Amino acid sequence: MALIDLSKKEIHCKIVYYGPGRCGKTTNLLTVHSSMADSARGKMLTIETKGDRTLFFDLLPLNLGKIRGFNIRIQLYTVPGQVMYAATRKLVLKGADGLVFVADPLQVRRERNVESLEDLRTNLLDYGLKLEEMPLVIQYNKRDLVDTPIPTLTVEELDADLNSAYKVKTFEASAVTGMGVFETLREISKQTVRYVTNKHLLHETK
Amino acid sequence: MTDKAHERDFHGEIDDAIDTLFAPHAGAVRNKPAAATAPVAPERPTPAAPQEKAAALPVSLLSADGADAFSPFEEALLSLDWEISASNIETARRALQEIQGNFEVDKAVALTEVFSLMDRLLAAMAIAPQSVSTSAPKTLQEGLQTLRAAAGAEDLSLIEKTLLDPTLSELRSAIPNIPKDYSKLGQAAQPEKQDFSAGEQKTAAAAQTPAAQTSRTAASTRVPPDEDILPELPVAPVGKAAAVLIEAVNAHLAVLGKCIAKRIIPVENLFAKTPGYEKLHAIHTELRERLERQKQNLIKALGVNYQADAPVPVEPPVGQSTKQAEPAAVCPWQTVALATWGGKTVGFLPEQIVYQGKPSPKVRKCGPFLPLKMLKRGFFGKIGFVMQGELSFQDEAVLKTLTIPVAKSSGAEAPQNDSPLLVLCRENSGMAFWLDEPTEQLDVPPGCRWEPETDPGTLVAGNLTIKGKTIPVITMRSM
Repeated sequence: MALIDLSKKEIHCKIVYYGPGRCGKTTNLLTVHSSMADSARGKMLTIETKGDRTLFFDLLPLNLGKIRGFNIRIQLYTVPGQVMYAATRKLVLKGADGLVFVADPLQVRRERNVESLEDLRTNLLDYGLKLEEMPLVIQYNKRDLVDTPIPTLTVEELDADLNSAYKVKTFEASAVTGMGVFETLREISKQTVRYVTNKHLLHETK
Repeated sequence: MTDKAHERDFHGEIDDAIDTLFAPHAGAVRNKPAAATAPVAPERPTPAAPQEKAAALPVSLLSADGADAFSPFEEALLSLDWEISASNIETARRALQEIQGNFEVDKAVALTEVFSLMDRLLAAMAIAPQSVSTSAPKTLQEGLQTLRAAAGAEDLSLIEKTLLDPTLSELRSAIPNIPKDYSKLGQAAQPEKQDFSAGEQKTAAAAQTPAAQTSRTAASTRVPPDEDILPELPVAPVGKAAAVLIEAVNAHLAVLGKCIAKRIIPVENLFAKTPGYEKLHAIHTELRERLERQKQNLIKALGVNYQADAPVPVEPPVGQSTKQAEPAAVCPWQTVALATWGGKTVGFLPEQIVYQGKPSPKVRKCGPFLPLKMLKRGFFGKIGFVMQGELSFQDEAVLKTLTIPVAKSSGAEAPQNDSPLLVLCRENSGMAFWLDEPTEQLDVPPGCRWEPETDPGTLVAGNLTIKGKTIPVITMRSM
């Protein structure tokens, strides 16, 4: 849940990047971290990685600036994608205000995407939240692989698998090249801050 | 204003703030943009573009890319706001000292107390975090705003009453009373400084002859040493001692340059071309950049006394230190398996090959995915028997479930009847290739050219050039 400190006039929103293992969640955060101005970002915290895999979570704090006197900060989290880290994933998801589902376009990971989205939905339900009621965008990552010999899913296939029920905004991206990373972040940031302020704050600023 | 209009207005401000923050980085928006019809917000969000913020600052506080010298300190404060740790405090202190070093002389003198108090507050956070108010990062943030305003102000007296005095008062009240005994604790608690802090820069700059001393250095040495919790500032050396110090710093710079060129860069290049070492490579790159920044700081502090061709002091031989530096890019593998695939010569890593051979004709019809169970020979045959490498140790039950994608080559269509099949595997990833001809082992000759592939999304780890012929080396690497 968003942290709102009326005495300090600060709002902290939590956005979680969710998705199957190795879909590029950490790479998304690394790209954001390396591109943002120093004044707007904090130090990226990566906890416990083994090889290229996130075992606990990554965290990147961003400072959005002041709106109506409120200092708005966004904290971007990733979850470990591997199935075995279900408990950690659920823990990181706690208190999330916005979600980015990062989908892996490799054909061999097609089922993993669907399983991961279902895992997200189930974990949210355990916290009493409904996925369809939360700010959510879906990112189709690794689109740079489309032109390689590696078999990949088309956007239509990904849409059919992942977005037929939710009908949310989707973004094609390539986290390693930076394509689509900020478009995704911009959209989820808008949705999340609106969601948080509508829910908790709007009446305070009238 | 009605509730609806108020809400729309507020949302417009949110969109505006987010667009301002992310727009410089985003490319073309492929999806339908969010409601852009919201009224223009009367109040602009705080984080203005760097160029906008830097416009009023003197040149000494601007870097080449237009960012100002305050940005690293702002970043450090944001990190401190999240987590008060020794490394975050150290980063903030260094960034603050950097700002002080770049200030104009007269302003630096006038703002000495602000700098000193901010540094003391940071030191207090390092030494006794439990006694520092949780609002300390916010107080430092206000101190930073004052410094920023002072940097852009023509006359400091104009902001003295409105900004300087309140800031000083807040900083003084934020610094807790810490007993003197803490100073030893603080020194022990602080991480070992591997690079030169601004304090050391001051030493180097103060070592210059009086005529050569920059006015900036004069200002920075006027900072009164803190008697209670801060380490004492070095005493400016004079005469012969100064010359000795200059010589020592020049020699240190020569050694630092040599270390970067011969030690750090080769290792960085090695990490760059080694699959799975992307994060280590990033860490190493950051380390090199930090050392290079420190080198530049020292050169700047030395000013006219810097000698680019200073002799490197004789060091006792350590390990391979006397060996000639390796070429910038050396092929990380001694042997590759050459093959023709889709009409092109490519290389594979022998240790990643788990199967190669001519399978039965039905395997050729497997399409884009190859179930490994199709490779077993005879009804009672086992998949493990035909596998090599890491898959030969795998349980038969697991092997039966494995399906591996078949790589599409640009030239070939369906595999020919006599096409050999090659399967690569590393950790949990695998890929099958229908080759034109079987593989041949090639010992990579020393001195051949190796260009690592920078795009981690491809299967090509790099290009090997032997006798003018470029061979892409395909590996299963992290994606």
